[in-house]
Amino acid sequence: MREARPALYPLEVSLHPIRPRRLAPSARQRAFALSLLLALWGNASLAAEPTPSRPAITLFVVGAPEARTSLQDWLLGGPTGLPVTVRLAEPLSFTARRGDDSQLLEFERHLQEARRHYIDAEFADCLQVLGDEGVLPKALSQGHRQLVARLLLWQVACQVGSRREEAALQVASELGVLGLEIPADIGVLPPEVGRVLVKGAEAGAARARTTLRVTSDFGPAQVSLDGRFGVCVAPCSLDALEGRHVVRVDAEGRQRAVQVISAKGTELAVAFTTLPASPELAASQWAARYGALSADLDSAGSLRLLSNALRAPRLVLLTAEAEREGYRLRGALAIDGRVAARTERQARTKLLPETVEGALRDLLFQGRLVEPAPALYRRREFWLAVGVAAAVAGATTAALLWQRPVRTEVRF
Amino acid sequence: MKRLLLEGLLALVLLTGCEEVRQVRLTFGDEGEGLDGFLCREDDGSYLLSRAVPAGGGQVPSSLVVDFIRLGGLPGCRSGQLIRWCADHPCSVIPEHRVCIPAPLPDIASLERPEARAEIHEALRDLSGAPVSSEAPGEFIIVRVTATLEPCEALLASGGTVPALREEELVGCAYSCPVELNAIEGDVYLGFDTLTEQCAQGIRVCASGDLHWRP
Repeated sequence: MREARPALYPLEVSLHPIRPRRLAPSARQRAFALSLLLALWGNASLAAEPTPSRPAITLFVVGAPEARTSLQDWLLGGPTGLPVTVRLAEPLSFTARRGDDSQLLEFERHLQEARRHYIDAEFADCLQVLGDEGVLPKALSQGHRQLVARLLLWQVACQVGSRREEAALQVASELGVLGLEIPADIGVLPPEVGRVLVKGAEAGAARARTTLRVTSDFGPAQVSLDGRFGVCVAPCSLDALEGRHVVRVDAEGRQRAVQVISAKGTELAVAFTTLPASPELAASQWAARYGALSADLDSAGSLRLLSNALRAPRLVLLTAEAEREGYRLRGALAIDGRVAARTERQARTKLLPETVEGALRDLLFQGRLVEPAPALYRRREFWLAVGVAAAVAGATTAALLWQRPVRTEVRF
Repeated sequence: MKRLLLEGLLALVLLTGCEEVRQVRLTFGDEGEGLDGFLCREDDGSYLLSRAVPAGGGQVPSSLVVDFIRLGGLPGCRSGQLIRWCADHPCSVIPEHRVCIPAPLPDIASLERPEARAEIHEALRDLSGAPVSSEAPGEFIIVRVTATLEPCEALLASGGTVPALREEELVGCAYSCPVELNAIEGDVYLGFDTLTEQCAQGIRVCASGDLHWRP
C-alpha cells in the first residue's frame, strides 16, 4: 500500500499555467489505489467464509481383486479431489458360528448317556439326563428334527422302563404333534416301547388343528415351524396340531426370534418382535445370503446388511467386473442402510481411479450427500467478484475520463 | 482497512472538489499587427480615430468594449466565413460578459500608418493585465474589442441586454478567430481582416451586434 499512498493526498493546484496540466498519471495512481482497496476488501470478505467440513464415506469394493488394489493405491496416494473423506473397507472377515455343531454334539452325548442308563436299567437317571425342558425347543429351532425324535424316543423308553405308561404316552404324542418320523433307534428297544410310542404318536397326530397367525415387526421374515424352515413368509397362517410347537422367524439384518407356543383352539396369534443384528451377525448373514451371488450384491438387502456389518452409515458398494479392456463398474450408495443412488460406468484399466472418482461424485450428488456446486451466478463469490470488478472498472474509467473543472480568466 | 477506505474517500472528495484556473491573454500581436481595425480611414482619408481629437490636441477619450460573441457552432476564421455563418446562425453578444474599459487613444491624425500603429500599440500596452473575464464561457465564441467614443457608462449591459454601439462613434475594431477559451493553449490573437485602409465599412460590420453584413 505504501506506493499508492501519495495518490491519496490532494493534488497541487497551479494558478498560473497557460497550458492545462494533464492529469493522466495522477488519475492512474488514483485508479490503482481504489482498485487495490476494493480488491483487499473483497479478499477480506472471502477469507471470512467458513470452511465446510467433509463428510466421510466407506467404500467397499467387490469383484476383480486387481481393481481393489488399484483403488487402494489411488486412495493411499493422497487427497482424491472428492468433497468427502473416503475410507476403503477391508474385505469382510468373520468366523463361522460353531455353536450349532457343538450343541449337536452335546445333544448326541446326552442321548448316548441316556441309552447307557437305559441299558443299565437306571431309568430315573435316564429321565434326568433327558429331562432338560429347554433341549427340545432349542434343537427344533435349529432344525434337528431327527435328533428331537430320538430324544422323545428315549424318553418314552425310560418312562416305559419306569412303568409310567401314561407319561410315556404323553411324551410319545409329541412325535405325532410335531410330525416327527419314528427314529431307527426303535429297532434296538423292546416291542413294548414301540407299542407305546406308536400309540402315543397316533394319538398326537389325531389332535385337532389350530391355525397359527404369524406376524413379525420386520419383514420379509422367513417362518420356520418345528424345525421345518421356510414354511411361509410372515405375515402368514399355518395349520398346526394342538400341542407344543416351536416357531422361529429369520429376517435379514435382525436377530433370530424363537417362540415355544402351545396351540389350542381354532386360531392362535403368534407375534414376533425382532432385535437388530449385531455387525458380526450382519456380516455372516451377508456372506451367507449374498457373498457368493454377485447378481444380488448391490440389492437393497445386501447394502443394508453391509452397512451394518461394516458399521458404515454412508456406504458405497462398488462392483468391478473385469472386461477385455478394463472394468465395468457398478456403484450403489446406501445412507443409513437405505439405497440412495446407483450408477454404472465403463472404465479403462489405466483410467480406473479417474472413472471411480467420477462415479463416486455422481453417487454423492445423486444421494444428496454433498450438494453439487451451485451455478456460477448463484455463488456469492461470483457476485462479489463482479461487484469488485465493476467497481474497479468504474473507478478506473472515471479516473481516466474525469477532468477537473476548468475556469478560464481572460485578460489583456 | 477502514482507515484506508476513509483516506481514499477523502482524497476523492478533495480531488473532485478542486478547480483548475487558467489564464488566457488577449493580444494584438507583438508588433501591433492586429491593430489594422484601429487604423481605418474615412472616405475622405482621415483616420476614424481622428473624429474626436480634442480641439487643442491630445488623446482621444475613447472606450474599449470587449464582447464575447456566441456563434452556436464553429465557423471558419476569415471575416467572410464569419459573416456568412452569422447570416443563418444566431450570432449574438453574451450580455453578462461585456466589459468596457476607458482607454484614451493617441491622436494619430498626422501620422503615417506605421507610426500610428506603434502609437496605438503603445497606448494599449497600458492595458496589459487588465481583467476582461473571471470565467470565460464554455463554448465557441469570438472575442471582439471595439473602440468607441461613447463612455462606458452608456455601454454596459442592463436587464440582460447590451446597448448597441453607435456607428458614428466607432473608431476601431478587432476580433479573434472562433475559440473555446477553456481549451485554448496560448494567447488569443485579435486582428482585423482588411486589404485597404478604407475600411470604415468593415468596422461597422465588426461592431454590429450580430456581425451581419451592412452595405
